[in-house]
Amino acid sequence: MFDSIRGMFSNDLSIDLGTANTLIYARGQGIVLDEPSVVAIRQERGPGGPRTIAAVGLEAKRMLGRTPGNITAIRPLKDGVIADFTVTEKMLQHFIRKVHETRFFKPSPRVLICVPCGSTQVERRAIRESAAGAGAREVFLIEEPVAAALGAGMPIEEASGSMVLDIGGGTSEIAVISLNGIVYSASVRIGGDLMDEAIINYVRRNYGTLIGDSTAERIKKEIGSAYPGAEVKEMEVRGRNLAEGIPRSFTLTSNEVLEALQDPLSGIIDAVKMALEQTPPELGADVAERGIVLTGGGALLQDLDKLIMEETGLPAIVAEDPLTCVVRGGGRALEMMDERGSDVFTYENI
Amino acid sequence: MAKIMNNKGQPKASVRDDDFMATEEMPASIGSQLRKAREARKTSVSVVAEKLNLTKSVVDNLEADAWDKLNGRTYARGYLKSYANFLGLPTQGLLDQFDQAFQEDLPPLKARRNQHDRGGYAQQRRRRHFPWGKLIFSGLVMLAAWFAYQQWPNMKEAVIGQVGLETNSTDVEVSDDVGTASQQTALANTAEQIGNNQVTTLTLPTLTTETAVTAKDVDENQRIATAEAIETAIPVQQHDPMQATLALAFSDVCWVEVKDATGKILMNDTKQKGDQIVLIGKSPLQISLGDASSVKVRFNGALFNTKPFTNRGGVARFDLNNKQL
Repeated sequence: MFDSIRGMFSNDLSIDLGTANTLIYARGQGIVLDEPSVVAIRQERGPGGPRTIAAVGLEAKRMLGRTPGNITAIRPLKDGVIADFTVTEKMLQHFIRKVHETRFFKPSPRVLICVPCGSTQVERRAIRESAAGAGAREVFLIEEPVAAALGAGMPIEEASGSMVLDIGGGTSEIAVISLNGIVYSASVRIGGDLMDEAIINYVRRNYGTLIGDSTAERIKKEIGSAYPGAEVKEMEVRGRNLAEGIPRSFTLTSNEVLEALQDPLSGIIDAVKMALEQTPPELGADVAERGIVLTGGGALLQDLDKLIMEETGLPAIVAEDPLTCVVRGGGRALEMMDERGSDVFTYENI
Repeated sequence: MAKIMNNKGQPKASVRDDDFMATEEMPASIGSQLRKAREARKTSVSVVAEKLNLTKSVVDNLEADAWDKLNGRTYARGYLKSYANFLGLPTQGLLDQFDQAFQEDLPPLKARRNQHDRGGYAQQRRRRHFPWGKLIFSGLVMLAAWFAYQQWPNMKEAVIGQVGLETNSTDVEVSDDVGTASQQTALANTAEQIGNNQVTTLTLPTLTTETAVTAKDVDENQRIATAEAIETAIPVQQHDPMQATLALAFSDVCWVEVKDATGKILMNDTKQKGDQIVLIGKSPLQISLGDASSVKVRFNGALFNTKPFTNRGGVARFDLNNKQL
């Protein structure tokens, strides 16, 4: 009982623990944290010595690829799941502490975390444990597509099918949702990271030049597109020439980037087509009428909706503010749990 | 969310249409802008629908500003965006206009991000759900508990103090009167008072223990005085045949247990050398002494020999009855 009284003074947090970015939404406050999921670890006193956290989040991301020997900047999540348990726990701890001061009347928060629908029991348990270890009073898990659909404002509580495609950093999730539950879902390990990698490979193959992750990401954001547009954009890129070993600059066009992105994009399209194939006909009809909603950072890729529209023959819609859809949906889910009891989303047993 | 909009959207849509009628010259409605642009390009609704993978009715609804028929805000916004893109209209301007038109039903997401609490619907739900009742109730409970905690020792002291006062007053009287000429009568009175006191305590069983406690706490001199006084005053006591007085004087350390006829334990303690106690209870009394040789027992004023009841370990167990004497 005491816990429940203290709980009234605590803020519930919804966390989108993504491969690329971690977002935290506090109830009644909105999005309170949006930082890259990067941790910089300092190795003290040579190999075998104690390892300490040098930086977390934005600060650590700036170190990515620019670190001296004793500091390694790592991304503790790979393909939407925890690759390094302890570092993830430390990162979560840092983020939760940053947004939620713990005092007597402000105890540890209830936390809702979005997990990829393709993740295994072991991976879910790892996420739950690391959240509990980071100081959560209670941990709820919700499947990412449901949160994304909620955040995008789709009418998922109605008895009609809604299809959502959430393209994150590590994974892309596609799901058909009806009556607050998932009817069909699939997760492909294709996301923004793979697109960056595709760009790096393309540049190396065609220009004999090596570029870093950050540069590749910048290229994707600035001139990347999924569908040939009317105008061709250009961008000056600097990288290390492999033959000469000297940094060189060259110009990359949007058409080249489009070519580079063909592989990951066709993977996503295949997943969408597969989902449409597997959807029960009644819900398929609903989806055909309404269309597919795109969320996640990948939805910001120029003309991705156009590509999906062309390939599937269905309307495709990019949700408003797609980057924060999942975390906002998580916040909404917490509110719904309070209004109607925590069994609205039956993920307790995950 | 869409449900909310649908519920509220119906009546508000008509209000909005009226507004647009009144100020039609100023901003053209989104639907009419779309229609004008489409007619300028000389394309039909069916061509647009085919290009955008939408049904004809959706395009018609878009042009008629019938947003509530478009499966909710997210979809309506998406359709509008792709239609505007297709027609080559300035997308952002139209979307801003759309957001403004929809603000009354649902605040735009960006605004809600920062000022989450301003959302009318969300706030209502929150207010209804904030557990003020529970909070106040728990607060009251905690306050009451604190008050009781603060008051408890005081209350206990008050009870003890009351009983102690009575005993003290009689004792003081006794010690004052010891050695005076009218000793006999005064002491008789005192004994009577003590006897009465005992009677009253017996009728209020909860208070008897307190009396015992205070009896122990009474000042040594006074107690000795009382003991002697009571011992000598015993004859007067006799008017109550069930009342028995037991006086114990210790010359060494010894444990004592005394039970009266009701089975109540009058004393269960270890006494030190030099201690003297007087017990008043209902006869017969059941007495156990740890070291009988070091205790001088007076029962109703008469010296009692414990020897016959003492075993080899020195422990004596015996009953004392008024009638025995």
